[in-house]
Amino acid sequence: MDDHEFNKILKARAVPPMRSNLEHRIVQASLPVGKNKANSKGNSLSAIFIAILDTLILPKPALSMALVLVFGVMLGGYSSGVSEASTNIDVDAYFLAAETIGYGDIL
Amino acid sequence: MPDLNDMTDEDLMARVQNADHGAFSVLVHRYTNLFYSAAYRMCGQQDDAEDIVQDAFLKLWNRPQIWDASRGAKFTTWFYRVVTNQAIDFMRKKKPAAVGDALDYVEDTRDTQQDMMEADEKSAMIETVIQALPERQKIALNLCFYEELTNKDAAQIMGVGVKALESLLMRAKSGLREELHRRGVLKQDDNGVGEATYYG
Repeated sequence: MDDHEFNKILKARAVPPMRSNLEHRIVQASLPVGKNKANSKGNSLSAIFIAILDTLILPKPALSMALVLVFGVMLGGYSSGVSEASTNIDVDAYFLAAETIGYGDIL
Repeated sequence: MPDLNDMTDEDLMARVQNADHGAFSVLVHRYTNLFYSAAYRMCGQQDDAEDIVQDAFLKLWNRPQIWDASRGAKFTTWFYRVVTNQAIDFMRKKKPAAVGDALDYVEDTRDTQQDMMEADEKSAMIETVIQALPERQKIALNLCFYEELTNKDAAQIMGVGVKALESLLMRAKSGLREELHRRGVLKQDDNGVGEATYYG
């Protein structure tokens, strides 16, 4: 077999097509870094607004988890504060009742 | 303002070095397909090839100073080197895998089901044999034969002399001939270089 025929066989090697969104994926993956670079050049209000918008639009699992955790802790703290307050009220009411009812009073 | 799409790769790279994301985006759209094919030929896996190309482009974006325009190299030649190194690192970290994607895909240019199956098998066989070549032989073959780079450019990318590259290429091809013959892809009288063996 000559080189030409052999080369023809080697050329039969196929490459499966890439996924159509690969370019988009690469550009998207580079965006946060690119925007940070732009922000570092000028801290304009619009740049800050875009950065905030980005955090809302792009999925950021770590940030979401942290926010959920903070929210949960705040909610837990608030609800335990409420139950403590209601306990205090109940205790106060008890003592108040105890003060008003003296020893030997007819119940 | 000049249209980015009309700019040369080297001008776009100069802009990328000034954090011009538009210029980066043009380069990505211009070359992703080309370098995906190159990466696939290095690793033989579709997902890995996509990751390699993505990592190479992100490296370019995050550290654009690695491009040195004063050296006078073409962007594509230089980026082949980036992708090749990325692929080598990737493959060394990963265990050698079976050639899965090649079995799943074949260009549908055949007339009958039988022809398609034969073409599929042949393509997968070639892929397996090429992937089994020693790393440097495989890179030399990919760059010169499949990417159709000049020996000089391929040698530059691999960081070897032209003579060394030619030697790698010759050993790769003779090794392939022998292995394909052994596997029955080449006919009995097709074994032109019967004495060929694999060399590291």
